[in-house]
Amino acid sequence: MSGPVLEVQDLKKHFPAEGLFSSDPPAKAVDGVSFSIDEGETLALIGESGSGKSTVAKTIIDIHETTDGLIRFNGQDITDPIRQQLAEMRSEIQLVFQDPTSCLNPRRTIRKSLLVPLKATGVPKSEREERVRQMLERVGLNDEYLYKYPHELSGGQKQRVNIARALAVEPSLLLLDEPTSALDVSVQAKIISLLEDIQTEFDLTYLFITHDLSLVRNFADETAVMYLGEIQEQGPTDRIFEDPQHPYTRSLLSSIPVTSQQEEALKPDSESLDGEVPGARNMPSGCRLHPRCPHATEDCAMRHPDQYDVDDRDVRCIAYEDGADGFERLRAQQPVGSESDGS
Amino acid sequence: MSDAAPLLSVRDLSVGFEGFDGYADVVDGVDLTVEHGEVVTIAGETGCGKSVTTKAITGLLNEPPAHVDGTVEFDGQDLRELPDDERRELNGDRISVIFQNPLSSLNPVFTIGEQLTDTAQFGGDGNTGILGYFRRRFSSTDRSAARERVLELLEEVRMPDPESVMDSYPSELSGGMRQRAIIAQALLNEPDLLIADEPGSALDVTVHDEILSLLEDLIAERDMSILMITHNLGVARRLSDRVYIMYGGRIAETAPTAEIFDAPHHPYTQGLIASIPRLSGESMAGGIGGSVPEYTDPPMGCRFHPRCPYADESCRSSEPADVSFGEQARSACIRHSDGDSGPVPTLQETKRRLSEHEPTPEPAEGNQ
Repeated sequence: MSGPVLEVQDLKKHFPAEGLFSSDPPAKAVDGVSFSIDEGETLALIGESGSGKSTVAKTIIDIHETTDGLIRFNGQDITDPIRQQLAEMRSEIQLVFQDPTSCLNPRRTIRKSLLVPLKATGVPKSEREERVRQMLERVGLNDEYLYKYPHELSGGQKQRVNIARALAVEPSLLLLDEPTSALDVSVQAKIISLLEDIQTEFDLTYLFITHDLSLVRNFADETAVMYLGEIQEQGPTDRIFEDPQHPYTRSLLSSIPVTSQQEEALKPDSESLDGEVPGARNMPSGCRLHPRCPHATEDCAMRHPDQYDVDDRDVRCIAYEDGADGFERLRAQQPVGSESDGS
Repeated sequence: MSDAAPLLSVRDLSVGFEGFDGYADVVDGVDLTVEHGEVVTIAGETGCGKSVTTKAITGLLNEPPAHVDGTVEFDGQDLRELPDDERRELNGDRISVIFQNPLSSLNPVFTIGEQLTDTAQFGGDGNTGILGYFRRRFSSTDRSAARERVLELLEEVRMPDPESVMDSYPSELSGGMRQRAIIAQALLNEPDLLIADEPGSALDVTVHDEILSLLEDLIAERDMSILMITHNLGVARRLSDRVYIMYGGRIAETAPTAEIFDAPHHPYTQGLIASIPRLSGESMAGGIGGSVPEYTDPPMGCRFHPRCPYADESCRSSEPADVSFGEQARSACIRHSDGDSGPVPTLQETKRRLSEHEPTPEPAEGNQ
């Protein structure tokens, strides 16, 4: 109705090479990323380490300055926020980081840590204590925890505190940067269901960043798969899982170790990638995946692929240039180079 | 390899550590066996004692503040009774270990070639100290033959461009290549038992996947037993013949792989399996409440009872005994009565209960 909550257009974040006289090219951590998230929806940003997924979140919240592109929040341009905007924005957008321990000051009690954002956003003093108590209770921790220090809490409890702290300023958008990857599965499941509950209760919009595809299936409405600073495939989560198109998405899906026969059947035929993610400083020419892609042709090294519309999805692969049956064509052609079928 | 006795048999293994907060009882009465040619996994969450168990098996915890009790029998010999040099020989020759972090198990100041060739040439040589050094330095063993073998193995682990890797330092290799080098090193002396602690789990999924398929191939080609440790049940399912699930320093349940995933018996195993996010989008049970116990003051009776949705007074007062379900499966829970006729908790019921269950509050934690 009222347009997307968050809109990112052609976002770029390049880190210049260090050293005054260095002639190294800049590291293109994020290189032309576009997406938008509607109110109350969840977009999952998926990728391996070095894909630039965390940099996207940090650029949105102005931890990193944008190199180029546009970020709109509720229709308002927040790409280079001025001070006034920044303060407003910080109370509307909150970030939950991966490592719950390093986000909490070890010398502050939980109560003190939770008071900081309230103070910063100008909540009247009389209301603060009550708000802290409410937020803690909402994330499943009772009053006992108010006066504890972070080292007395388990990893899952610390992450709950971090979520409570993010909620304390009543944001409308949460950027969740691998919020459960430091936790065990039995605790992870608890945190995920907590996140699901508070999303409906407070009408939150999520940008969920993760490397774990299986977490996303149930959680996100839309999924964007990133590789080396670019979104390779983006679309409704169910479509991406049921019928992945891009070779990178397919190999990501097929490489997850699963725990049931039923899931095994869901994985696309195994197509493993060659080698590892190259650094963002020596970006391959043409398609960024081509040195690792089992289907790469000479053309892939020459031309940088655009995004093509393949039934309600965007896929960045030149095989789709001539229509939506790109994968059939990929499979039909003989792979070039040294890659031989795994004998 | 024809004898019926298991290759590795661990009985009643207990490990404790003397610490500032008192005595931590980290592994408590673990029994496990690895048969010839079998791939066995110990799976569990952080802090369940899985790594400590293997460290005790390899003899790395023989000195205080660690206290180890129980027997570790390898091919008929009690490893804990062996003199140090014999044991060292065995560790280099017949038992190999792959540790979790590939970078910290490679020496940063030697090239991969130097390190691996040393292993090929002298691995399992019990001579340490200055005398051992000179004996090795001037030994007549052919170094170039050893080098050839290293190259062969690097090929076998599908190391890209093995010749140039031989002359590289660990810092020059990518994570996946380091992991391959470590695997090659562990296989150089053709061990009978390979102990692998979370192989490749620090790597990205696509690279991890390659390492796992490499291990799969090695298992198929070689006559080798593997004791693997992982927190990732998907990895356990993919590689192993049999799985041990550990919780709180004890074995909760063991069964052949297919059985443990299709019909887990122990409430903890059930909760764990129900917590795994599914590719199929099937909903998770909402996890297991609470957190792993403090080892300085473990819960009375069953160590899982504060988090268990079935727990009652009897779980607190008595320790659960192993109940066997068929030949290779056993589970330690007092909800099981003898044999498989009793009211065994079912996965569905556990899921339902877990979503409603509130863990019993922990006793006030140690230091305030």
